[in-house]
Amino acid sequence: MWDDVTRFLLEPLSAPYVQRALLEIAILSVSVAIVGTYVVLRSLSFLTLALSHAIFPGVVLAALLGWNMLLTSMVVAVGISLLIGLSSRNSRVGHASAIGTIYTGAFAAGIMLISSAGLFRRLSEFLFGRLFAVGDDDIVIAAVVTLLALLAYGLARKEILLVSFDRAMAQAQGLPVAFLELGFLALLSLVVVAALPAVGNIQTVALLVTPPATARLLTDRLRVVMLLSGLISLLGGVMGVYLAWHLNLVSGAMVVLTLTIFFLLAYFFSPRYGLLTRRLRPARA
Amino acid sequence: MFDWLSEPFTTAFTQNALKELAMVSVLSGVVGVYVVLRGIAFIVDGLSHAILPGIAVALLVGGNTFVGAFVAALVVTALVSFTSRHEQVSEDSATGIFFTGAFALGVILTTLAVSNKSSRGTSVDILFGQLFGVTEQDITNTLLVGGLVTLLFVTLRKELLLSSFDPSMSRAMGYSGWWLDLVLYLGVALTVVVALPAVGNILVLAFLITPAATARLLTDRIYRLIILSAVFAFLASIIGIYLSYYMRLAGGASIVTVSSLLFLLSLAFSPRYGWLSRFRRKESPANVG
Repeated sequence: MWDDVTRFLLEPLSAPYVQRALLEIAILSVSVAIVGTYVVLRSLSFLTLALSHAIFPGVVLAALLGWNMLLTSMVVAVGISLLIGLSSRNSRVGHASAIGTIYTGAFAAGIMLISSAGLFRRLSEFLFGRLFAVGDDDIVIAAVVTLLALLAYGLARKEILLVSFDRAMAQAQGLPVAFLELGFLALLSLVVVAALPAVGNIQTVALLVTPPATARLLTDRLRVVMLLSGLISLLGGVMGVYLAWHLNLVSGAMVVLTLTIFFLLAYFFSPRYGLLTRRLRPARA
Repeated sequence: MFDWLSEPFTTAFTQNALKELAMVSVLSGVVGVYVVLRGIAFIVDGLSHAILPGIAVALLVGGNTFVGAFVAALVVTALVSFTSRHEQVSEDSATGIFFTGAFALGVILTTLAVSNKSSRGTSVDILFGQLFGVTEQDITNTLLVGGLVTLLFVTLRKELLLSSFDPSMSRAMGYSGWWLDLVLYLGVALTVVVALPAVGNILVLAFLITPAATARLLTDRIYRLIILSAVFAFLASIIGIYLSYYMRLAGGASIVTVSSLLFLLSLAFSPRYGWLSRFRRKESPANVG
């Protein structure tokens, strides 16, 4: 029986592409934990989803013209953020509709581009990721972005938190609010771009939102939420990779599905906030 | 001389696409206006992605994809509204989690369904639709379901409008909040499902919000809003069909790109609410007060 277990665990590891996938997931868990925690606390899921879809034309352009993927996507992300900001400032449009309108438009433009260039066979790779085919350059990008996220967290942790929760207070303290907001948005875009090869641009939002939301069901303390969500995405990533390898299924989707199941488990069985644990606990007098 | 204008519409498959899009455009006005007024684009987006596993299951067991999609939409909406009642889970996070989770499940099941030879269609067809592959059956479905949704929304227009603008007033007048929400989500889910064969489940959101958001920059009156949204949706559809016919571009994506350009134009140049006119009003002293 132990032989089976060790074979289950070790067999995939002999393949270099599995090693690379695990390394990519491990590096990404750090940056998604840092940025994702703020995304969940500030309820920015829709914006994250929009950014991950809207950089699609950038990814296609980079693939078509051989440009640098990270740089091209970043330029597109900045343009899209500006457009969303500009249209949501018009009170007739509203925040949610601005995000939805701009991102579907950008995404559709990317599809148009891809259809004109005959790159359609690579479409599913863009949409669902290619975790089992990440290259060394993808891993380097993920590592650089993770270092940047760590650096930003180390330097401006308190400032970002204050701007997120109490803008007026931050302004009164003389913090560069606009700069910090833009910096956070830029970091979010970088993490979204770095996560693309692993899970693709439809499911990137899961990597950023599901682990911190799960962690929030387990603890109230911000630092613990961040730490736990890193561990959760690492665990979910590794389990997803193993399941995908053994069952021969789509790897990125398998990681996302594993993370969703973690969330449901925490929702029902979390010691403090779980639905069932609360029901079962005797009411205190 | 105008042959190039009529040429795309001489074949049955483009005519079918046009008929289908005309009906979806009406729904885009009737249902989409409330989506924009309430600012529920994210939930609608989540809903349209989350129906993927339902379609996949229907393909796997050989059932009706329409029913599969609808059941999946109901299950995911219930999960989101149920879990977001927990104080540690925001509606924003719950939407993000279940929409991606359901979508991931859908991707895995679709891969199984497609490798299973008995099924037709591929995952890319489901995601982007096949505008020029719309069948007579799809058109009949849209006509029946779309007609029903339109009838329902026209009958309940006052209640829907009041609950969108002033939810507490609406409750005080005795209209229950949750069943009007239910009607709205039902309308959205049915629209998404009937529009699916033509535009696919990623871009259907654009049909539901972009024309209505464009119209909202131009008028304040609700009936004009509904009519203008439908007109914009249909205009974008026609231009999109030409683009995709003559330049061999993806159909649904061309329509949505045109629709977004119309939105940006209206954002910049709308006489009353556009960026340019506001800028000018601020500059000219004659308009003060």
